[in-house]
Amino acid sequence: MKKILAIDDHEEILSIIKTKLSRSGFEVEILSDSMLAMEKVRQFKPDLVLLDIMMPKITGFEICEELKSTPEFKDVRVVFLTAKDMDFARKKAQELNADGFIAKPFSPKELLSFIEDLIGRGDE
Amino acid sequence: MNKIKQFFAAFGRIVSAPFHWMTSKFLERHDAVLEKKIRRELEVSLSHELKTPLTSIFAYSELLLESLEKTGNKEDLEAIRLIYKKSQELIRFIDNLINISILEMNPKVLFSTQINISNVIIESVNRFRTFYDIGQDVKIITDIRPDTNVFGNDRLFQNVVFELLSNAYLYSKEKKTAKITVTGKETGEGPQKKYELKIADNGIGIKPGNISHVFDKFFRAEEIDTARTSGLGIGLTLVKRAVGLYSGDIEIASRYGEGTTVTVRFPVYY
Repeated sequence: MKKILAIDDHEEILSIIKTKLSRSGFEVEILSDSMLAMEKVRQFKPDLVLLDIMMPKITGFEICEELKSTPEFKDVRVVFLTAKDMDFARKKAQELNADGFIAKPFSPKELLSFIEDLIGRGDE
Repeated sequence: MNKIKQFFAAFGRIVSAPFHWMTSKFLERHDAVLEKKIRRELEVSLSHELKTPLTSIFAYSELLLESLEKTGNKEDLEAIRLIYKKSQELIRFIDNLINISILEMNPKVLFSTQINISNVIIESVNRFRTFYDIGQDVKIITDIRPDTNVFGNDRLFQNVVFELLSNAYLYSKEKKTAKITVTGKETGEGPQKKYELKIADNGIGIKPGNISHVFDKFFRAEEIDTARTSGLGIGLTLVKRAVGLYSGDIEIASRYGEGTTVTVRFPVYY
């Protein structure tokens, strides 16, 4: 079963992600405290991390940078999910070698199809 | 002694008057600029803040629709479908407000490059069909010259085409009999060569006296049935500003009661 970790400081967004992706066969863990991101990645070993950008304490960009520069996690796919849908944010995501960028408000159906295109179906 | 004091006081007033005038004008202008800047920044941040709660409404209604389509009753399904549609409309308004604010405040934040306008138009037509859940009864005829490049921002251009298509559809006489023709071709020669996009509809049209106002921010013509078609009157404002930013031009021809044709032209990128 493919594993997804979603990190966002808005609990209701996490709940939407968990509902949709769990229904579609993924194993999903959610986290609202970005400070615990790396610890959670080490413990859960996700195939893909969904990351909000603007979060208190540590931003999504910082987490992505750390993931991509840690040899152990460099193959973990990172997709940003953000209301800050500006060109500079998209450019920054590209520079950090992120694997995708989805703007809020997002459609759960489209989120699922984006993820399946990247890592395949949850139950594969 | 008193007279001397009065003389110097009067002299001082005369000499300092222009400085007072200049200072007050500067402060007035500065305040106006500052107020405008704050208002626009507020528009952008407010719009961003609205997006998170809207995500919950939009995404939860989609999840509920999925469940109800399998097990729910017809009334509940219709209610959720309405919430889903209305939240989609709100998202469109907010995106337009953000884009207008960006164009007014700081268009430099838009990254511009060579874009394939033909693909942008085709993608916008597809997005438009999905957004309004358009069935086969609505005729959309497309004739797009492939692989032509212009200079611009692809997401902004998609927004432009989407808004023009939305107007053609929303201001139809009857949605079921709407017919929209989308033509994209090159016109002119050499450096004058342009890509011309024409979107024609058989809708309600615009009264002659209103054509010159359709690009005004928040303008909605009285011929619009506002109960049937909601809107903020910002779609064409956005289109005109976006087109102008990339040295393009826009023309509207309309016959009231018969339909409207919007023509947009952008310089071709070599």
